[in-house]
Amino acid sequence: MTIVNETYDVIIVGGGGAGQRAALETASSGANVALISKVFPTRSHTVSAQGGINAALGNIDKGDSWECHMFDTIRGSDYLGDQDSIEYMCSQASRTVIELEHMGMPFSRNEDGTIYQRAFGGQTLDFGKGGQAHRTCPAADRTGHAMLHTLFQQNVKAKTRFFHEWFAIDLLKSGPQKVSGILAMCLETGELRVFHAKAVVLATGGAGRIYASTTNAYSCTGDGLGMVYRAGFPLQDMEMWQFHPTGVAGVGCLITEGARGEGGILRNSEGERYMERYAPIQKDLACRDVVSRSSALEMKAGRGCGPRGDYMHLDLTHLPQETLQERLPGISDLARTFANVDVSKEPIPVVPTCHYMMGGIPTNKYGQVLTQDKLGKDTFVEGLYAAGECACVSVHGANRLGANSLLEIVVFGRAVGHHINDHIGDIAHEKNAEFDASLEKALGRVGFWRQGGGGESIDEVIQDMKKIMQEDFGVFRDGKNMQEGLAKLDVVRRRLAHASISDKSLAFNTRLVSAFELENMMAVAYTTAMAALARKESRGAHSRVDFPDRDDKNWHKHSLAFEGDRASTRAVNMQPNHVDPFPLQEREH
Amino acid sequence: MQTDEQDASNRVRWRCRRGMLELDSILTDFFDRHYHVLSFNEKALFEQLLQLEDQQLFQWFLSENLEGADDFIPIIQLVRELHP
Ligand SMILES: Cc1cc2nc3c(=O)[nH]c(=O)nc-3n(C[C@H](O)[C@H](O)[C@H](O)COP(=O)(O)OP(=O)(O)OC[C@H]3O[C@@H](n4cnc5c(N)ncnc54)[C@H](O)[C@@H]3O)c2cc1C
Repeated sequence: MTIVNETYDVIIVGGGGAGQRAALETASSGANVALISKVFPTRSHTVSAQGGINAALGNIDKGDSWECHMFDTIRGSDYLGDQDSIEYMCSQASRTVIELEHMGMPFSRNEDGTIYQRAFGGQTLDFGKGGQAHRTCPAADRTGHAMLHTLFQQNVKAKTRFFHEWFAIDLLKSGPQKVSGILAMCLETGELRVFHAKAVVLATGGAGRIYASTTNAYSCTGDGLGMVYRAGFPLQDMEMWQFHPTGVAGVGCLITEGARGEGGILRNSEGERYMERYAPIQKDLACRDVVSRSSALEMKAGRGCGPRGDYMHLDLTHLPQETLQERLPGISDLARTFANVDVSKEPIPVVPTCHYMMGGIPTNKYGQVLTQDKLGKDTFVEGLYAAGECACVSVHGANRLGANSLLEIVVFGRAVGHHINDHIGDIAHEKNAEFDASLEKALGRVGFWRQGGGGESIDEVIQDMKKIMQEDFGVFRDGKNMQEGLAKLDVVRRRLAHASISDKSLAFNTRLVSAFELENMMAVAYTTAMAALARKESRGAHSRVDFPDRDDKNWHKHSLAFEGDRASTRAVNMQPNHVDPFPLQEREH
Repeated sequence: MQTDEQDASNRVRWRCRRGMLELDSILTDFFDRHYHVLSFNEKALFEQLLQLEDQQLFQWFLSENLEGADDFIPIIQLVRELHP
């Protein structure tokens, strides 16, 4: 098969909020930009985000400030977040939201016409001393949808070239630390194409599908992470996964934190509001990791609900009908469809469910992808950027605050665009022997699945991987289980090397896509398992029974995992540019 | 050789991939269990439905509100009835 080559200034992989924001920034300054997305861009996972986007606009709380937002984000991250990146994100938040408003994003309004702001977990006034803040800006309960549509319209105007239903397979390198393009496949025809670019931006979103129970859509398979891993660059803080306390039991569908923000209460089988015991101040609105772990503890203590005691109750029965109808309309429908529950009469069965990946592709605050030389010194990969959930910039550290993710994707999508615009003039297109070798290798992977046969089906490999991740690397972690889990995962990983797919067709070969996605998920799962076993402390979402305390002396650092089981660490940035660093403190709830 | 019909069916299955887990679950489940027995017209309607926005589908599949669904009402009702 002859392979068509195309050349752009910038290739963006991913059409969610991060990819589209980066595309807009580069295309509107005149660059020739192609955006590749495996699904139609407005069907990216960003469309799921209901609750809102954080910015200390102060429309409800006059005393709110970006510095308070920064403090909450650092504290929420259990001090693993990089303070320079968090400072950048929080200081840019208000202008970013207002920029979206000016692009036409239909935010909900207060009576005086300003943007409405609701309460979300982990938000405080006066650096933790002033009580609950209202910092989350919603567009009804469809904030992500509104954001994607707004950005899509702007991109059409800016002449971004969209390749939707194209699947990015691998990065193409023209040097050990230089990326000059990607190999992608058109889903409609099965055609393979080489896209040359001065800058490649990965914005491929999360990877929650590695767990058996997740709120993530089917497309969240960590493709960008797999590509980076195979290219020999590291993944960072992969042990850090946020479990949302309220996924509908058995299905995974998310009941937004807004439900507790509007007054919903978690109860155990005795009807007790157990969060009062675990987090006397913030109660049901404590950080997600705290709430998830508390629910898991209740179930372990035999106070779970239902015949098997394997879920908790989210009680909304005391909320006024108007609140349910006006502020939480989708929740009633979700509960009815997926749990057969009428929320005005019965509680919703919920469990902690994998929701968000804090780790990912390490970048600096300009979105440049970082790697390390043999001596452990940070260097960046020329021509490669990452933004959004696939990146670890790291603003969420060990735990993300609700509504900080939509903020991150637009702030750093734009930051990547800025950096590319400033440097693209210095970069040349590169195609050399190393590029050809890298293309050969990528084509070899395609050939393996297209031509191979007779091996085990990928379905069982997927199920086994998810089961191990759920059981041994979920909310509760302990050295012995994880050791066994890692050994089992290693076997499953080896099985993948001998698996095959029976469908050899070209058009919309969903089995082939699933095989590529599984390879990517396996990289994510394996690095998660390695990093979780290695981090011998409890911090944020990473909670170990055998190491229950945070250990700042030995573990106040990012973990890095490379292909070939190489592991390393990086220092956490404690040097913001405009404010004093926030020193380490114990978290209180 | 792959037939046009198989190609079409693969295409429809891919387009059941959405931005929301709820829709992935409802649509993929429906596709895997029932799509092959649909009539030609029902298949066409289902594929047209998949071209619409996630928020729209979410409303039609998850709420009582079928406003604007018009021609799609029969296929929406079928998907809803067959949802486990
Ligand atoms: C149910 C739910 C509710 C949420 N609510 C909120 C909220 O209220 N506030 C908040 O701040 N955050 C929320 N989040 C988190 C937030 O929605 C996500 O972190 C964020 O939208 C991720 O955006 P993204 O642009 O990084 O990726 P995505 O929106 O996931 O986009 C990824 C893109 O990459 C493309 N892609 C992936 N792999 C490939 C490949 N191999 N080839 C080509 N294209 C590829 C996809 O097609 C897609 O276009 C929520 C998450 C969930 C699951």
